[in-house]
Amino acid sequence: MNWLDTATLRIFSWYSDQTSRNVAPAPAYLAYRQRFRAFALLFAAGFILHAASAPRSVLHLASIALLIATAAAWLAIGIPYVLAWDELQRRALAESGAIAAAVMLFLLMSAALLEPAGLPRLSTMWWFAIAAAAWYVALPLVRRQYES
Amino acid sequence: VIKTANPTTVAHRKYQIRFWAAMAVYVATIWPITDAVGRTGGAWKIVLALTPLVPIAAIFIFSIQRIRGIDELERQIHTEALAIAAGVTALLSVTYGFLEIAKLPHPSAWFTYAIVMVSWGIATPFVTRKYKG
Repeated sequence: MNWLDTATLRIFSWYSDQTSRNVAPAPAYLAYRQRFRAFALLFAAGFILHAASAPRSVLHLASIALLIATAAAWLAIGIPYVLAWDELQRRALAESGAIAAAVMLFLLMSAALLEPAGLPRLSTMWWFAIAAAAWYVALPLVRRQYES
Repeated sequence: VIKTANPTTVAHRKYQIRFWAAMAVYVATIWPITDAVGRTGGAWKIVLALTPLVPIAAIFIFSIQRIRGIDELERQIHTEALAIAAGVTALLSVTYGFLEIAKLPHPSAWFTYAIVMVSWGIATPFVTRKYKG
C-alpha cells in the first residue's frame, strides 16, 4: 500500500467515524468502502488521462467518458449504501443536504447579481464543489447535534 | 368556544404574506438597480448589484421561520426535497462541468439557481406522496 492509498484510507476512515459514530459497520458500508478505493483510482486515472491528452483528441473524449461513467457507477453503488443507512443517519444526510442547498442558493444568487457588475461566469464545477463541500462539512455537525 | 388555529396553517399564511411582500420589493427594485449598475463604476457597482439580496435574504429568513413553524412531517418533506435538489444540482453541475471542458460555454449562475429551484419543486410532491401515500 503506497502513501496515497494510506492517506485516502485515513481520510475516509476519519470521515466515516465522524458521520457514522456508534454505528456497527453494516455489510453495505463495508462493500461501499471497498469500492470507494476503486472509484477513487478510476477518477484519478480519468483526470490524469484528461490532463495528458490533447484537446478534442480521442483520448481526451475517452477520459471525459471515463469520468462520467465512474460518477454514474459511484452513484449506482452509493444509493443502495445510503438506503441501507438507519433512520438517524438518513435524517442527518437529508438535513445536511438541505443546508448545502441553502448555502448554494445564497451563493448562486450573489454570483448571479454580481455578473452584471463584472464577475465572470463561473464553471459549473465550482457549484458542484461548493455543494459537495457544504454537504461534507454539514454532515458531521448535524450528526453531532443528534448524538449530543 | 375557543378556536385555536392550526400552527402549520398559521405558519403557511404568515409566510405567504411575507414572501409576496418581499417579492414585490424585489421586483420593484431589480430593474432600476440593474440599470443603475450599468451606469455606475467602482465599489458602488458591487454594492448596488448586491442590493436585491436584501429582499432575498428576508425571504430566506421567512423560510426558516416557516420551517420552524410547520409540523414535523412537513418539515421532513421539505428537508428531503431540498436535499434531493442539492444532489440533482450537484450531479448536473459536474456533468455540465465536464462538457465545459469540451468547450461548451459557462452558463450564468441564474441557470444553476433555476435548476436548484426547479428540482426542489419537482421533488416536493414525490416526497410528499412517499410520506402521505
